[in-house]
Amino acid sequence: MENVVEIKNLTHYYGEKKVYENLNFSLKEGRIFGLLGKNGTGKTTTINILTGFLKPKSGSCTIFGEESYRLSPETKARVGFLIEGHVQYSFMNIIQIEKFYSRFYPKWKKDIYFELMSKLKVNQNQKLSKMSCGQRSQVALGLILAQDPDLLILDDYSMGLDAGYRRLFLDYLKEYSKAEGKTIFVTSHIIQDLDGFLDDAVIMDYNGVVTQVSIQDLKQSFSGFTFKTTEKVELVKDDIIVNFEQIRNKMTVYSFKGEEEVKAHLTKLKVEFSDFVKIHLDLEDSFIGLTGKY
Amino acid sequence: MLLSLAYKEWIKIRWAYLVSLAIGLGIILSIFLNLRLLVEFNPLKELWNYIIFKNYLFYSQFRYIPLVIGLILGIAQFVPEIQNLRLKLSLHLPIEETKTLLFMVFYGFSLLTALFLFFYLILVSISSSYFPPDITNTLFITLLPWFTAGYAVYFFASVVIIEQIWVRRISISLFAVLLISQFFLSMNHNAYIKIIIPVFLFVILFSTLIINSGYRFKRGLK
Repeated sequence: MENVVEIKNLTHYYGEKKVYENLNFSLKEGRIFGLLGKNGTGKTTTINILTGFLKPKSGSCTIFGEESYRLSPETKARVGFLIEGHVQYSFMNIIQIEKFYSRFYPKWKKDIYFELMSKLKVNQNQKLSKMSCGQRSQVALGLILAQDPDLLILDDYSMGLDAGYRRLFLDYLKEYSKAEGKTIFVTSHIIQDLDGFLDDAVIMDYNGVVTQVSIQDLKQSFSGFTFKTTEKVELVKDDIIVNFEQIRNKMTVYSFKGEEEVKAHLTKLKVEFSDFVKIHLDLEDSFIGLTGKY
Repeated sequence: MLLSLAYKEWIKIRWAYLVSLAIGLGIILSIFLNLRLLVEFNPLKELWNYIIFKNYLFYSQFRYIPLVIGLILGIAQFVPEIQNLRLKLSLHLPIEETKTLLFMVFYGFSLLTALFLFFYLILVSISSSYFPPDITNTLFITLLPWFTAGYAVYFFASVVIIEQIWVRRISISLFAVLLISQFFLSMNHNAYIKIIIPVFLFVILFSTLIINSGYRFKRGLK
């Protein structure tokens, strides 16, 4: 499977402030890839670099083998880009904007756009600026799908959307991408929505990338364990304990290791524990487990 | 594709364009009515003398109109592009980025030219219906500095609005004010006759400045 996106040793600073150093990941064709991180960890910076709107301090970022800041028109036609906040030409109405974009893309699929538009209860002459955030998100999605790109880059698609529109957005996207074998790169601050949607993820923290895994592997190998302890335990993160949290005498420990190995490790650390339970982690729990709540 | 870009630009600025047209026509109507009054109450020969020897410009009210129109069109065309960084959409279109930016400016320049030419022809027809050809012939060279100011303010507005670095924005604005003020130093007929054509061509070169501001926008320089 070909790598659609390759990021190698990417480093970026805003002035003296480091965003990340030596970021590496790749995105394989036909996969849905999520860039997950808390606010300020560099998600938008990465999207800006990926879409060619920011020059990194060092390292390289390629899309279909071309440097992202020098994409040829042919490659740009293969990349659908959703800007954070579903930004579009809000001075146009849904007919005008379709007419505008359709001439740029040889594979333009008018039907899919108008199918989505038919679900919106808006007048065809209504400008995008007069629509709700949810309606604008559907216009932006319809335009990207009609473009029929091979790679879709979606910067925080969930911003400003209520649960219904978020679900509609993802349902359409999933149906479309799976049927057409599209590659998707997505960021969102609502991680629970992406559970069951993503194939792979990069999880970022303030110090850079925490992990890059397939969601399947993450769910199989990353676990949480709770137990009661009688004292204030001074745990530290190590090869076994990825993260931990203590509220009064209840401790939660996150690890890529199995139950027995974690127990043995706690014993070795002379941590007293009882009521040791393995807890089921969904994607959001795993994210919190890896990056912490703060 | 360029037709499609033109379509977008037109949707963006059509109201501003119509307002500009209305402003220009309104001022020209006012000029025409004033002139009719002058003709009515003064012997035509005396009026001609006044125009030729006292450097009276019957259309002096029109002086700042191209400047105002250039500014209106520049703002109407480029402010929506910079709101929410919407220019990213235009630069992500499958066209060379330089071509997109230059086309946007060229489109505005063409609409300005159409408008200025239209106003010029109306003023010529008003002038030629009251005055001899010698007076009407000075119109073009006398109006050209004002039209050039209109083009200049349009080009600089596009650059200043797209520019993301504030120091550059301020420096370019100051330079623009200094340059454009030069076009209003004299109110005489044919005052700029010796220099206006090269200056006009020089100002046209400023249309390419948008490439630099667009480049900095693209690279995320702030």
